[in-house]
Amino acid sequence: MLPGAGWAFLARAGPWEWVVFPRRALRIRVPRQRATPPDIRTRSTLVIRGRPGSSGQPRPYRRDCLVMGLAVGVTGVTFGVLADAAGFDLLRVIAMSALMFTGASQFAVVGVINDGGTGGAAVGSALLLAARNALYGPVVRRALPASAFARLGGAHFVVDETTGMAAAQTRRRDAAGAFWLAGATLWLSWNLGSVTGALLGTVMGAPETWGLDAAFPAIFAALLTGHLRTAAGRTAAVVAGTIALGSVPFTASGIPILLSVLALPPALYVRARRRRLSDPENRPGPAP
Amino acid sequence: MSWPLLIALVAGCYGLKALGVTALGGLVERRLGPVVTLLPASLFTALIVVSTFEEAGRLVLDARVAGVAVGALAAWRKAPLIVVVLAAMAVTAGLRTLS
Repeated sequence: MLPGAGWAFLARAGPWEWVVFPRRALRIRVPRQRATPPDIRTRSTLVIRGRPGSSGQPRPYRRDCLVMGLAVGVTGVTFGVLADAAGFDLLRVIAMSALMFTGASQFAVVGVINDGGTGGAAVGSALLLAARNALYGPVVRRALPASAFARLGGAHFVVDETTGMAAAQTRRRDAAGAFWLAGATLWLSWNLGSVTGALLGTVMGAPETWGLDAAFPAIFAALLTGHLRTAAGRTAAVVAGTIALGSVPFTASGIPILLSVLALPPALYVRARRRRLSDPENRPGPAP
Repeated sequence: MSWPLLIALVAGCYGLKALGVTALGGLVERRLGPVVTLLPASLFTALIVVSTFEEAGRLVLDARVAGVAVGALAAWRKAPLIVVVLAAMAVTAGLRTLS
């Protein structure tokens, strides 16, 4: 499935500047300007550093976490309001927000129950939406501690926002910091928000009136920009967007996002092709 | 919704997350290394598309699309996240008030 995959191939210095570190080295702080891999044969974790000259500043995740926490807190209020309207008591709202802690699934549960659906149907659609969190696992793994116990603790916070924040960082240390800070901020604001919403009920108007539904995709647009620096990243995005657009009318909610992994083979193909072209052996003209 | 069902739901949601960071994550890392760096681009684009255009299982074009477009433009111009979010919300809310 992977054209020319293999660690030695990956580690070859191309315009993408893949830096390959052996897993042991990842536990210590990664030096900023490390250029070449120490040992390409070691099984390793990849750190993408962007193109030389365009790597730019890492996203200021402390401020971003705060902004995201605010937006998520307000969304939590609307969840509380909807859950209250659908007949969920305060204890159930708290249990969902604190323990389920995955917004889209919680909204699905409340929506299905509110429309008179069965509990089983609610669980089904919620789990379908939560399935993408499993796909986030491989992405956030590098931001999580090495110990299995700590990793299982961190798993609770693996949701759209935390993964987005962690994946937007170029350095592993920042990714870990962004993940945990986003996790703590979001958990607090989401729970505070949903309890507030459940208690206040319908005091506040519809969230659509002040455009809250546009905030969520906009946040992810900001977190996505870093991933569009490479041709492969842009290919993955365009194909995934097309797949999602095409599958929304025909599939249950949650499925389009899962289907977007089908964008990976074309993206990998583009990456392998770019890599081949940038290889001096294949470049036209006299060899250096 | 009954408590046993709610507990099953909590367990299911956590199980999926845990599966991702343990077994699935390890497998992807070992077998499909480079996929990890391209996964966010595809997953988040799909997430953006769905949360921008989807409304009750159908594709719709409404004020939200315009708001997200302005937000995305701000993000592309490297505006801070607060500006991105407020711009998206302001445009969406403004268009809804006008229409």
